Amino acid sequence: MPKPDFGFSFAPNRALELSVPLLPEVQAVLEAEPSIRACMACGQCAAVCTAGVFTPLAFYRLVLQLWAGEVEVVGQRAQHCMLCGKCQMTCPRGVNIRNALLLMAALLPPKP
Amino acid sequence: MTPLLWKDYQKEVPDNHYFFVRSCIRQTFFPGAEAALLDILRNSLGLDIFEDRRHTTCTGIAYHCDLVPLETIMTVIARQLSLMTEAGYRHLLVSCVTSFGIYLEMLDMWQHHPEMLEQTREALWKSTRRTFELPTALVHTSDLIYHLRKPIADRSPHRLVDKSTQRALRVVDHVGCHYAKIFPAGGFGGAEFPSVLSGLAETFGGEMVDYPERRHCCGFGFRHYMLQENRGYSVSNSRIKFESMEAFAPDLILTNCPGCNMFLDRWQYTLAEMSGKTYDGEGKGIPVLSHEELAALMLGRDPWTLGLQMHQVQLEPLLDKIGIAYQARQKYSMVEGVAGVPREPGVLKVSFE
Amino acid sequence: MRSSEYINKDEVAIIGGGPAGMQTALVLSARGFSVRIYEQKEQLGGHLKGWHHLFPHGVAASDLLGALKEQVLARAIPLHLGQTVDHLQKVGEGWELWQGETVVGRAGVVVLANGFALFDARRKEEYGYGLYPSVLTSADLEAVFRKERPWPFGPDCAAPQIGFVHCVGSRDLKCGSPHCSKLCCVTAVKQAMAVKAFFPEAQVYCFYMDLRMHGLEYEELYRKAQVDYGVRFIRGRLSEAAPGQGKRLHVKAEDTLQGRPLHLQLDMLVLMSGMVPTFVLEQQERAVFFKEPVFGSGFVPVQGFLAAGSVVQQKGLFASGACKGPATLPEVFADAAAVACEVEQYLKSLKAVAHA
Ligand SMILES: Cc1cc2nc3c(=O)[nH]c(=O)nc-3n(C[C@H](O)[C@H](O)[C@H](O)COP(=O)(O)OP(=O)(O)OC[C@H]3O[C@@H](n4cnc5c(N)ncnc54)[C@H](O)[C@@H]3O)c2cc1C
Ligand code: SF4
Ligand code: SF4
Ligand code: SF4
Repeated sequence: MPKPDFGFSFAPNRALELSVPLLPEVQAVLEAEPSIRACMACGQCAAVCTAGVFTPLAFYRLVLQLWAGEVEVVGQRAQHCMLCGKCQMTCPRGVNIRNALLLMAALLPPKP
Repeated sequence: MTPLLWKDYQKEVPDNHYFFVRSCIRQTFFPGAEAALLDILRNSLGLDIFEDRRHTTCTGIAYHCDLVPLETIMTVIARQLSLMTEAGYRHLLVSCVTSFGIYLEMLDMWQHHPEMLEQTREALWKSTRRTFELPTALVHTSDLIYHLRKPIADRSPHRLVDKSTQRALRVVDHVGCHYAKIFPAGGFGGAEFPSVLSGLAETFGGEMVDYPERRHCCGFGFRHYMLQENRGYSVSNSRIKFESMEAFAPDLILTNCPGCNMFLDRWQYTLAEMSGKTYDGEGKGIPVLSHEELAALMLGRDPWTLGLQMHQVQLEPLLDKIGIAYQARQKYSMVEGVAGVPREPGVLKVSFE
Repeated sequence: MRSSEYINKDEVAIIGGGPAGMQTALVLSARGFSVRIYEQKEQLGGHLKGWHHLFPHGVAASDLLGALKEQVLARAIPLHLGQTVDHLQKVGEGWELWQGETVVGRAGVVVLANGFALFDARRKEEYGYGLYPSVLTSADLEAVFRKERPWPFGPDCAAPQIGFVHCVGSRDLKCGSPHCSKLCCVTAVKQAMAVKAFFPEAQVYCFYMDLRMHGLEYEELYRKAQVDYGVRFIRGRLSEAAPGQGKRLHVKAEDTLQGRPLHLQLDMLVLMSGMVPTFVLEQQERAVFFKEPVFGSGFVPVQGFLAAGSVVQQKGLFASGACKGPATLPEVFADAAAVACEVEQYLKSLKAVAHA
């Protein structure tokens, strides 16, 4: 029998599943730059970000997405960083943001 | 003060003398359910259940779709109550959870806004010359079956147990949202831990599974189903429930609402066609029964008279587990003769040799 | 007719032998007043008896309690243990302390130090406390630390997944408690770190709305929990707990910083139950009754500024410690000393009037 066309379909569940263990590549980033753990999502870094004015880069969001295992998005967004270091000057928790961003940017496979 | 602990939500259910109002959709989808209910209450338990053929839909579905205005539904409800009053009854027995929620809502509004009650009385009088009293008890049919679960179980030849292994059958329940989520005090166990279905399944010897998405909506949602464009939303919600219960390998889904029964049953077919997946691991789907259908089966009623062949997910595997005898060849014998065997869906298995 | 002489005006009765009661008694006794403590339990200590170690420095609760009790003993403060007081009757300027039909004591001044009650977490139905064995309150977890009850998961579970829910029965109008209990945030952080110390492989989550780290060094504790202990903080209040796979619980919350619903399977869920009143005062002209709190009851109302100790509308009746609202131990001790001073001044003012 041919597949019926219902005229609608189901949407995937967009809930985050936290029960899965941290991906090894996420763990590697956290180990290489432990100060990422200190981020408290205050947003100071994002408000001054040179790239954030034009692109979806907001460092603290990348941290949240990293914890959630969304390495693709993190890798892509990290590409927007210009390494100017403005964020790091404002961070009240002393997160080494530039190094973190370099590590995050490396999550994307290099272009062939 | 309203009760704050789930176990405090216990509801007074009168033992007898009810005015019964039907569901508008149930008889189309699950034609034997209400007949079975009346048969159990009247014939097995000897209760006085009165039905007036002049009663109508409560218009709840259309009301929730914003098609019927508040004043109209109030007057329709008032008319049902006037039939109840005329027949000399004060206990209202409601078949449908949507309706049940509507009656609760109207009574609550009238309590808080007596002027609305007066307007409704006036509207009903002008249009029909009828008057009405408010019910002293508002009971959903699942409340009554729950209330009578022990006498029913005492009369049952069957139990919710796998006859060959003596394993208690695993039951997941889905309590219709409007049963207690809007007025938690109106239902057994309140909204978080409703016991109206789980208590029934346990009385029959089943094992209740409290799965994570137990309280998630079945996906009916009225507006979300009425328009084809919105139906994806409906089926996605049912899918969330199936995905959540799948891990517990349930033998049965038990519901108390015609809408929920319909969606949890039919969408299994739809999802199987869309994604190739069924949630039982064998391609047969998870059977869905309402409280009356379950009670009727337990009391030894014939599955085909009960209309179980009208379900999308077929019941034979469950009947075999429980050890309920049925005549395979009688399945499609209708009053007018033998109906043709329905077409096989692409994925879901509905005939068993 | 009982005359007012029947009561020793200088005598102070303290109702409640928790930290507040003990400290108020100690200060008053040190300043030469005659005090007695009426405690409903067989032992002094109040809630402190049930705690394992204290924030922010991890001092053993038993050490602090031991030191307090020692001082109470050294000062030979008369103790009436196992003595519940359920109402007070005014006689002249002073008070009679009653339990049911019996007078259990008399005093010129009464200090309420009845403390707080832990919010009954069963009322937050969606978390299933009392229904699912792996749902504990913060107080239950202290009992686990004290080895008075077992962990809710077996020894085979080396890397347990553990969640802490902040604000259970606090900041919740539906539960009748609009206030912030103010020390459960830091308690959660303290307990999260302790759990990690027990199970280094554990994954620990805190579900919070704001982290109210009001005390000195609390914020530092929060940072340590993140960096040194790997505790993960998720901004979003837990919506629901249900049985998950195996013996696990399945919980739902919204990660509000990401704007996405979140699901998690847990081996233990700890509810940071808030602090609520032990009773409400029913004040009559010459009597004060301690009644069961009802939905939305407040703490003991005091006159004037927040830290004040004298109970509204009642001369010679004071309140000390957490019966006036959520308070940490250092706050309770400071408050107890301040209340003792107020009591002293009150007694002196009575003397001055008598002399004049
Ligand atoms: C989970 C948790 C952890 C905590 N951890 C810390 C911490 O680490 N550090 C910190 O500083 N603070 C901590 N606290 C706060 C601390 O417990 C309180 O500040 C302290 O217990 C308040 O002392 P209290 O004497 O006012 O009240 P309570 O400790 O409640 O004592 C009141 C006493 O009065 C008695 N009583 C009550 N009614 C009567 C009556 N009618 N007649 C006679 N007796 C009566 C009670 O039996 C009790 O002994 C914690 C609180 C909680 C909830
Ligand atoms: S400024 Fe620092 S602490 Fe604040 S969000 Fe950015 S990285 Fe996190
Ligand atoms: S270093 Fe990168 S992230 Fe930081 S402010 Fe500059 S562009 Fe933004
Ligand atoms: S201290 Fe924290 S956990 Fe406690 S009520 Fe206040 S915000 Fe909630």
